[in-house]
Amino acid sequence: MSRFPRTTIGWKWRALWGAFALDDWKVRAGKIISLLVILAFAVGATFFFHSVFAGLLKLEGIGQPLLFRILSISIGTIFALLVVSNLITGIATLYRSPEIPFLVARPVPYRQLFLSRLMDNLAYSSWSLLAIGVPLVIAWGWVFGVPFYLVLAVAAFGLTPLILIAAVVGAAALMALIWIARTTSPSIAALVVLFTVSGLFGSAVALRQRGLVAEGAARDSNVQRYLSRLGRDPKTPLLPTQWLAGTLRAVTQQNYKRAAFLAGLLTLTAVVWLRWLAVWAGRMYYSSWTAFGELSVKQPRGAPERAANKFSKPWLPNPLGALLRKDILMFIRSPSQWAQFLILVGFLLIYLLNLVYISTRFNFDHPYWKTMVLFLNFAFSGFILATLSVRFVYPLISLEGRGFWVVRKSPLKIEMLFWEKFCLAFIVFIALCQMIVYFSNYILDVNRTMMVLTTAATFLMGATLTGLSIGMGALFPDFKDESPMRIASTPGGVMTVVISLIYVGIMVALLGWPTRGYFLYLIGRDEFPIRQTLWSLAIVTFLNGLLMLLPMRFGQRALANQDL
Amino acid sequence: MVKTYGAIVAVDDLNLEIAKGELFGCLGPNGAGKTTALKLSAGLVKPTAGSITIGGFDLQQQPLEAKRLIGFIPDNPYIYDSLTGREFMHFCAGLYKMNGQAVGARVVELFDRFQVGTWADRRCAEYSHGMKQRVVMASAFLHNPQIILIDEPMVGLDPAGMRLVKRILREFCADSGAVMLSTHTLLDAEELCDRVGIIHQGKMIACGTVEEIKRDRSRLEDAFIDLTSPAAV
Repeated sequence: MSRFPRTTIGWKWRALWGAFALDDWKVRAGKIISLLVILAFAVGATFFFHSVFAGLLKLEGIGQPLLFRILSISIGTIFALLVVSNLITGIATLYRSPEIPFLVARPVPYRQLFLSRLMDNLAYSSWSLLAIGVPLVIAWGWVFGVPFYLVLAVAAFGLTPLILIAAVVGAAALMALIWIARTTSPSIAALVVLFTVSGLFGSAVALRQRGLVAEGAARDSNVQRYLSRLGRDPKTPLLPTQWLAGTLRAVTQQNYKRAAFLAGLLTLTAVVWLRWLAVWAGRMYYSSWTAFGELSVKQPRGAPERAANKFSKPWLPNPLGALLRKDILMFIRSPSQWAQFLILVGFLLIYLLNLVYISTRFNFDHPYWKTMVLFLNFAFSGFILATLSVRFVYPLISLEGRGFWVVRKSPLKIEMLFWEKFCLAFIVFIALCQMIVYFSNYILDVNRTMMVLTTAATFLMGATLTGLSIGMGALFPDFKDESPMRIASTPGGVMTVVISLIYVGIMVALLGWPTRGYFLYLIGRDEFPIRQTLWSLAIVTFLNGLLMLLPMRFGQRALANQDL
Repeated sequence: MVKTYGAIVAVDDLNLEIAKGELFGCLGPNGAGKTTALKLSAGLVKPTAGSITIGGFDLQQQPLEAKRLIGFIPDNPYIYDSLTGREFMHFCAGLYKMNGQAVGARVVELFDRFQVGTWADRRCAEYSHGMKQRVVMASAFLHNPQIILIDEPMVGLDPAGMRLVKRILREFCADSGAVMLSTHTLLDAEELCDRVGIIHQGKMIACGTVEEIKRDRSRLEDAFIDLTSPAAV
């Protein structure tokens, strides 16, 4: 049994190949295309990061420090997302998986059982973020001419340990939360999460404010102040993310001793933390798993009869009303769903806070900078929409789950189900994204034309991304998985992310084209760009129509013909 | 009707007619194609060839009209865990465009009939297999269907539940409904069914009343073993 984790990974690998061998040629082609698209995305991302880094290095003096600041922020963001992702996916993988009761009934040591589940969790929650992390490291090596073996070494002893640390932190936090919920109550555990997130958020804000006040008093120029901040060592040297960022900086400066020290620190930390977690899990995992089962049974006793009767007094005609009410109830009663949603809303608040910070400290009165920041903000809103749509809209069809037979056996057109999901997702997304666009435009003090343009474009992007995600979710449904995060991490989900991000990029470029002309018209250098505007509008209309309606149509057809 | 999955023929030229008031039982070894035949009849699986007509409506051409007449009960009663039993019933009523206070009264009536009791307002995640089965059965009768398709009706039910279901199915047929069920329990088939069909390797190899199938044998089990043994095939 000491070989158990290896045995189970070996069997999973065989099962994966076995499933591939049993697939018909259409499904097999779909999987191969998905993998190729992901690979193409990784290659594209490498080129994209390389061009951004190369562009930054051209800025004399500020370029290199700015590049490392961007790298440091990216690594920090990826790490934070990985921890959250591991924690949320862990509910399904470490506690709810039907494999666990099967394995618990066998003479498998709990520590090894936990490790095998942890590896599963790691694979599910990390691989899609790895598709961003690896191109980032390769692009860094490429732009600085770092030998390939050193890039590989950084990936192996820098990136990999960081991913392991995130998995360990996520799993340990989840086990601790379940322990708190069992010894006190689930509400106390929820409060602990809330206070921890608020505390982290508050301390990040306080740290930033303190630093600014001190530096603001010492120097006159914003640019001087900003440059001095970029060159400094990080304020949080104990964070593993800073060790990886430090490794990259040290390799670039050919300070290999420091690079080896930091990478060694990362690897050692990952190994020691994994070992500690394994020992802890050997004692705690079984009781934690049984406690989770008891907590699931101890959930609130459900709704009273009068609440159920509301199904039959719909505010919208049935069956649309019934479908909407069911989906809303299921969302509200799924803590992992709204917890993820709240975390993403938290990230958005941090973004808005950053925008307030930047706009109050830098002068954006010049039309060039105003337009530049406006478009960066618009691109970011698109990125948020794309992420949200894949995390929350793509799994909507799959989340009908094994109970999908209830809908399929009823006299309901499959189109109705699609439009119900579309309306539900679209209303929530548009409310959220229009809020971001409105507040960010307000903070940046943009003119009315640009306000209308970005509002309309975000509305259109919201509709298209919702349609795309629902359609793709129906083309690649996974009715067996109950975790939305895992569903979003399947090849179909990643393919949707890739298409969505490419689409957002094209939209930004298409709107940027006439906007540039408009900017030149504003400063009196050119005529009003009527031709560009019309062309841009025509292409935008065609592209959005295509990406919204085609996946929906194909998805409907695929779902209607799917055997259950 | 015919249903193939690649080279595998799950249902092979099955031709069957069930009359009003009749309780028809599908028997067969594991993997014979019984569940596929029921799913084909419920519109959950698309036939490779052939057609299914329910109450005069072609299931492929007029699926909504045909599905309004069907009540389907699968062998694994997967329902939405985060809804309560009562919410699930109201949700199903909504899918059939049923509105108003009459729905609440109908739900109460069916829950009384299937003895769901105090479980009605608990979340389905807490239900046992048998309780889920009772709620799914109640939901199948909600819209007053003309035909009930039921896969392994007795699995997960306690003895009282089994007796209850047998009584309800018989009453439904007496009220001119039609039932098509699949079962492995030959005693249930003998006790319940007006006619039975034995499906083996996707084909209907025998069809008739229990007495016709048994012929000179004393038990249905003997006939079943003889007909499905490798030597007979």
